[in-house]
Amino acid sequence: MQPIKISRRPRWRQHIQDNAYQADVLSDLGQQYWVEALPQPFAIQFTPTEETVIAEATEALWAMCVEFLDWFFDPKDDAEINNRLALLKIRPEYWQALKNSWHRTDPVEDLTLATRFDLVVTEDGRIKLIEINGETPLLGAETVYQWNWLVDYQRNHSQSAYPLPQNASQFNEYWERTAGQWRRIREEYNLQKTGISFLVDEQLEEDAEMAMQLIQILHDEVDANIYTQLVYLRGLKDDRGQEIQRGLGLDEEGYFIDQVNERIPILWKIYDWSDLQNDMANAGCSDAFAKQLAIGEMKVIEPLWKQILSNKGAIALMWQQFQDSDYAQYLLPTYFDHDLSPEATQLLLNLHVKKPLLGMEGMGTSIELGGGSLETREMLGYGAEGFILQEYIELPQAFDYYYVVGSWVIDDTAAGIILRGDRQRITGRHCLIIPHIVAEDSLAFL
Amino acid sequence: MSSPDPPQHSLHSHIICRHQVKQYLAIAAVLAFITSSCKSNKSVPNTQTQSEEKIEALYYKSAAECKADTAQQAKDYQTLKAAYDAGKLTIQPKAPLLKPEDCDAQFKAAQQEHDRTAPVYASQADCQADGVRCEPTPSYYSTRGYRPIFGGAYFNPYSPTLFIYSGGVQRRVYQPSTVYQSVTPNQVVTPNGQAFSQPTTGKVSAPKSVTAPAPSRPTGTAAKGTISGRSSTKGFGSSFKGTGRGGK
Repeated sequence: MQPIKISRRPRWRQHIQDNAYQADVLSDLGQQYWVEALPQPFAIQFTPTEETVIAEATEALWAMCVEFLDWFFDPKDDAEINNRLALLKIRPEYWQALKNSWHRTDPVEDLTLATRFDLVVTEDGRIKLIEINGETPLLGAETVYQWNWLVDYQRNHSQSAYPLPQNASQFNEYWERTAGQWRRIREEYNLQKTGISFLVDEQLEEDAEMAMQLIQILHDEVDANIYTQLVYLRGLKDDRGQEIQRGLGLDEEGYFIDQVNERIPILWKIYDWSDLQNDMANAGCSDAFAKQLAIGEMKVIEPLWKQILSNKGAIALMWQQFQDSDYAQYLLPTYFDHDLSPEATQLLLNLHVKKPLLGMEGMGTSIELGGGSLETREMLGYGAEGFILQEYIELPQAFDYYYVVGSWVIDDTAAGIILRGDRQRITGRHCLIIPHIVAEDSLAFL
Repeated sequence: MSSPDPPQHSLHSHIICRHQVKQYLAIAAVLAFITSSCKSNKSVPNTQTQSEEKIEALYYKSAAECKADTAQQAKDYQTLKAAYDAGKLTIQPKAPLLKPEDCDAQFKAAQQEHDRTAPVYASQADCQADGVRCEPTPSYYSTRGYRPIFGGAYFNPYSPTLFIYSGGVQRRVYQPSTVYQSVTPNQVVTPNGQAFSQPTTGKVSAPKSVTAPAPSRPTGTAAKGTISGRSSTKGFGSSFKGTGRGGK
């Protein structure tokens, strides 16, 4: 694993506009979201062996997640399940629905489309899980674009100042694996008959772009006749504040309702379950919603059981469960902040990362040493639900950027990686997308 | 893109159809209200359709209006047809889309569509907040509350047809697309919340996308009872903690 310089393609911004979703942000010079916006663009080169090791770690971690959920929802001890759900600060109204969601097989199980692990891959070859993007795994469009970048670079820019190895490849099966899982979802959920709605936040452009990327894969690779529509979280308004399209609603029987007041049989969302649940508590509709989710007639991607994996408390429980197993090689010691065990106390005194149970995009995360913060991100309202402490591990660095490896798992299979960098140690929203290649070393110039 | 693949390693880029997908979704949104009960699944997506193009349709607020206008259309047609038959006209006139005797069945279908799709609100204030004029729900509704007042219906010749039992016989009618009365004078509101200035009765031109054959929307199930979650302070999106706009 090593950083390599690459050339900025002369018409890179146009290439992004023509060959990517998230095109506006990727091609924006000011935001420096894509490496070619930097004065010296770079990529990360992995060897085929390293690729294999990351893929194996990813699949092992997914197997661990499944084993973990089987333990978490072990029907032999309902009181214990409730204790765990309470520990994760999940609203009790939804406990039954969550249990049903994991155990449901009839008429069909609650299917997932994709999960993304955030991994620290160190220069000395250790791989450690730092986060599970269980229910809002963005970066699909960025993952696809880095592939199109590689194709363009090899075809049209191999004579540039920094040529890539001729046989350079990429660990990237995101498109094909997503198509495969869409095929399964189409069959199991009968999408031809029901269509599928995509719930996006009208204030976040990236939500709609991610949805469109997935819609294109569904239409191109699976079935162009499946009806798809965007549903907006709060509705769409024009410049004068006039409503153009109504937002998501909930009917008396707890079904999601679209802009024409019809039930949404299948919903893909990129909005957290915990936020949906809090919204419905605000609206006074928790009971109807929870009851419907327990019945499970309405299908949601990602499914409700993913709420457990998205909660960072799950990582503390995973450490508790698996610290003596083979999985431990991929885990960092992690504890709840209210844990008073000697191990947890020891970690509190050492260098550690403190993360809110529900924080996203690094919000509310801090790097701490014995009670003092070394580096922090704003809270923005996160953290009231509690924190975990995770042993600190230094991220690898390239050209002043710390980078994290996002590793996709789709249909139990490792499906590729996407790298994100940040000048701070805590990767936040305004990060840098770094492409990677897989090639035997080493034609790279540092 | 057209250069040959490198010999040892075949690289194919993924073609990104962002603009087409965007347009498809825009059309899906416009179409949702008009085809929200579309029974046909045969249509093929047509992403080339321009939403600005207009097509001919009929708009009436009541069966009486429909009868009066279609009777006039029938009269006009007879005059033109006689002229054509006598060789005084070179272009054959088109027969009217609706006959006066179709109107009762058409409006029965429109009323059913209105009952099926009009949302029910807990209070009159909630209802009016959506920009529509409201009435208490009729006695045959299972839910007490308020709903938008029927503002008429569009009938278009390209829509699928359905059968309605009316006047003792089964009649074939066009799938109606209903609208609501707006709180703003001379406006109507579509079931997806779009406000239009009220069309004149009779032949109107509606945006073509409204009746374009694609994308076809699956048969839906109407919401049951009061719809919640659309209040900006207490509804969906109310507990989201924004982390800013722009790049992730």
